Amino acid sequence: MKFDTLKDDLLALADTGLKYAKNQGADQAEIYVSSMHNININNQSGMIEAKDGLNEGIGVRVAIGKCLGFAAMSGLTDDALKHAVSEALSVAKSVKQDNEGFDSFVSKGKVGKDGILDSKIVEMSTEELVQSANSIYLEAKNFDKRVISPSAQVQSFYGGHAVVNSEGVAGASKATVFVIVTFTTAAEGEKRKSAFDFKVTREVPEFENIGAKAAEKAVKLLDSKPMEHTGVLPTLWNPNVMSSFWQMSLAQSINGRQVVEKNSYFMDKLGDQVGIGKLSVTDDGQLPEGLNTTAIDHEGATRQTTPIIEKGVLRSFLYDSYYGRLGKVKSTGNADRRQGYESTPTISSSTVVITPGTKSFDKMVSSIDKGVYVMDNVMGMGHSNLISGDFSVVATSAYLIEKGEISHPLEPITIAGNLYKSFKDIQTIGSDSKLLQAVKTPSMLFDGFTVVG
Amino acid sequence: MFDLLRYGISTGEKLGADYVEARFDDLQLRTLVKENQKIKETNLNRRRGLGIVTYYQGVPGYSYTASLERKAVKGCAKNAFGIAKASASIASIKLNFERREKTTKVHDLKLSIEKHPKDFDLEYKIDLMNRIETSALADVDWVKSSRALYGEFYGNKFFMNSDGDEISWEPLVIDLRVSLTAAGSGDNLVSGGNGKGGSKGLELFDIKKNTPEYLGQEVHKWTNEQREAKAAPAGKYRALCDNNLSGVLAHESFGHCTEADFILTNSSALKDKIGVQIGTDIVNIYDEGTPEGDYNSFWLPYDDEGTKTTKTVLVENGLLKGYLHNRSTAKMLGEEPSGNARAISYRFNPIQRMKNTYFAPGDLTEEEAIEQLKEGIYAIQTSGGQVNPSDGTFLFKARRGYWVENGEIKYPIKDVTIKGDILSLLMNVEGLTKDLEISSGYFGGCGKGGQFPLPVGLGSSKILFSEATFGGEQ
Repeated sequence: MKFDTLKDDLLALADTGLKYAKNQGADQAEIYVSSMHNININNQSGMIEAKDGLNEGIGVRVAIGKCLGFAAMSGLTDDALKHAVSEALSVAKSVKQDNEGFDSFVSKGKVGKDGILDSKIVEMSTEELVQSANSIYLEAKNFDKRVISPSAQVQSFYGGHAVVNSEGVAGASKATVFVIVTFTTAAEGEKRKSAFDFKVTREVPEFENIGAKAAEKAVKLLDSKPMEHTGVLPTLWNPNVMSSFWQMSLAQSINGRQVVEKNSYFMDKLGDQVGIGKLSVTDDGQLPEGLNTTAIDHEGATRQTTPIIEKGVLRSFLYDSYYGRLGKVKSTGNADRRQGYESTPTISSSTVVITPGTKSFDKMVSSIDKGVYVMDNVMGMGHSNLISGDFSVVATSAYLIEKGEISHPLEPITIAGNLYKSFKDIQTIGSDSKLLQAVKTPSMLFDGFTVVG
Repeated sequence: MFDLLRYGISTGEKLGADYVEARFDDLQLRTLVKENQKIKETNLNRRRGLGIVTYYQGVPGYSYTASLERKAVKGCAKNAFGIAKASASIASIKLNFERREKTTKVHDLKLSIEKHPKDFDLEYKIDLMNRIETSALADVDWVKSSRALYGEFYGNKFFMNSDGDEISWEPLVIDLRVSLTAAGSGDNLVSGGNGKGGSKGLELFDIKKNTPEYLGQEVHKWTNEQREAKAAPAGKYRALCDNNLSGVLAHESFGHCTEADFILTNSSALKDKIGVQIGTDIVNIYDEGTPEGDYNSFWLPYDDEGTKTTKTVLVENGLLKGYLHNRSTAKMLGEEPSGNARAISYRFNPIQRMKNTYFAPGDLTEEEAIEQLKEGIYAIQTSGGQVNPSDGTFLFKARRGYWVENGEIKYPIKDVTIKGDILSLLMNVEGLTKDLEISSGYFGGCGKGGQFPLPVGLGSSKILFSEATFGGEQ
């Protein structure tokens, strides 16, 4: 399938699947097809691992009465289509338990806009990507003789997905994505320190300096000293770490499924002040540069911009059609498929956007008498307790802030606090917004976390 | 199928490749999820496709296709060769390995089991979930929510290369799990989880200690205990880690550091440490494809480069003995291929991954270990963690545990993080119990290079540490 005509080609195949499913006895059906081309070049200390391929396949959901079945198969052939449909039907027939929450697949709505598409990503050859990875790798390698393990990974993606269902939905969306990740280790004596940098964008980005920047960060960390402090301190988090902070703190708390199932910390707090007055958060499914921006979501619903927190007040949760129905609200267009065609829809934010403040990063630093600057990497955020919000992370690239200036790097420190309660402990929201994979956030200053190191 | 693979290989060779490998996978994955006694997901995925590696001047290139048409296979070989050629002039590390003198011809290798999941219908599997969930719930009012999972993975793998090896085998893994959340003291929520899995037939759940009823009762008991558990104290304490947590330490904090790609690229804390004392002399760690004995390991007879898996000695009497290899890194580091080149599906090239990684057992009983612990934390089960192989630092979350005083269990403690670096931790091993357990499963699994979740086995007995760092929680 050509990228130019990809939407029509995918829609045609999905439509064939829908007709077949109905013929075979499905009361209702939904056919999801996707095709994603990927070139992946990884240069790790001069060892190159490179691959390309087309990840394509079909995911079929059918309903017989209220019994649901799902099956998926790799490939976009008639054979794969028939296999997925008949397996899904066989599951629906033998499951013998109604899915009480199910009524129908999502109903027809407006088809929105694709995000930015960059034809250069489609046209880029393997050779060009190998060269790009090599230039980033060499920058890191040649930065300093203490660099022992430079690496650069460059990936291009282009493709799309289509959804049709028995409610009349027939939509498709395309995307182009470029990924650069560079990870470097520096060593001096027995001491080893690692740092990374990355870019994930819908257009081919500038490559320059990304390798050198990661190497510089790793080398600087070699001067780390123990913190020798236990107690509450102001902590300034850069956009990279704020991105994981937001993903964890909002993953469960604003997810409509968790609200319906009563696992969300915020479930009974709509309209309440949950954060400081300057905190405003939206989920933007139509942000042109957003990585998860699509014309339709992954069950075919309209993508939209949803206010989550306005001036500190909780405004909305995120829903797909299934949990929207159970929660008696409309879908907010947040159905995602994490494993592409291999998975059924689940609720996920698209791009979480934090409204930036007015203070620059430097001004934030100068406002701190004694504190910690947390940069790039925290370990353990993924193991936060999402029910209570308690977290405890190890910051491996942190700096001491003393008398308004960034002082020396620190040996790993532990930072502990509560994700949800911290919305009220925000001291300052920075002006330096950065777009990351699923979040667009500035740096932020918190006071109230316990620092041990 | 071998015909199609042969066609891919000859296409690559005609283009000028020095060496070609072709794989075909047809894998079926079933995931069943029940929540609060209702069926939530009944998913079936079939991953079928073909992948080709070509080597050109010591540099590999990989390409894959889900189409089984000859035209697609030809395109795949061409792309793989194009990638290798584009990378060849740039790569400074060349991966040359010797061709095999003796070729392997093994067809349709499979485990001998009684109840293959493909022969049992959906109802049978849903019933297993019903039983484990009902048993875990046990009709009490304090459980807030429950979740039961069943997973199975099986299919066919075919491998062929320019050496003339021809291997086909049938991987298999099954898994049954349950978890509960409950109201603890105050407004706190607590949780508990339990399960069993491995390369076994469904007869696994007929064994007394693995029946859904037994597994459910255990998680009920553990979750109930968590309701009144106290927070663990933070700081450095003597510690006893149970089989599950120690097994995860063997895999995550230690095993990854022995993967030879990390060694070659200066990304591992264990580089240049062969023959060096990295643990106390009672520490022995192995990585094995087909452990003998009654374990729930993952069965891996051959890796995805056609190498027969071995019992790889990683640590013996505290000395680092070896690394985990594919053919190229073994040659470069002067060791034997260990059968650790693995790919999760046709969409991925094989990379260095673990097989079944485990601490060999010691001679203590659990009672003796607790007595010897005297005062400290008995940390049990884990909900996962994170590790940085380049410096060996790690952070894990123990799911539950006990505070021990005077060699006796005093009270249950809540989940607690354990952190440190692997080299210091192994030097703190004071004793191991006798009861080795190796486990594997469908859920969880290992992630590396975008390939997740790859089934691996991990194991240990209980390990007594003279010191470990806990906490950070308030």
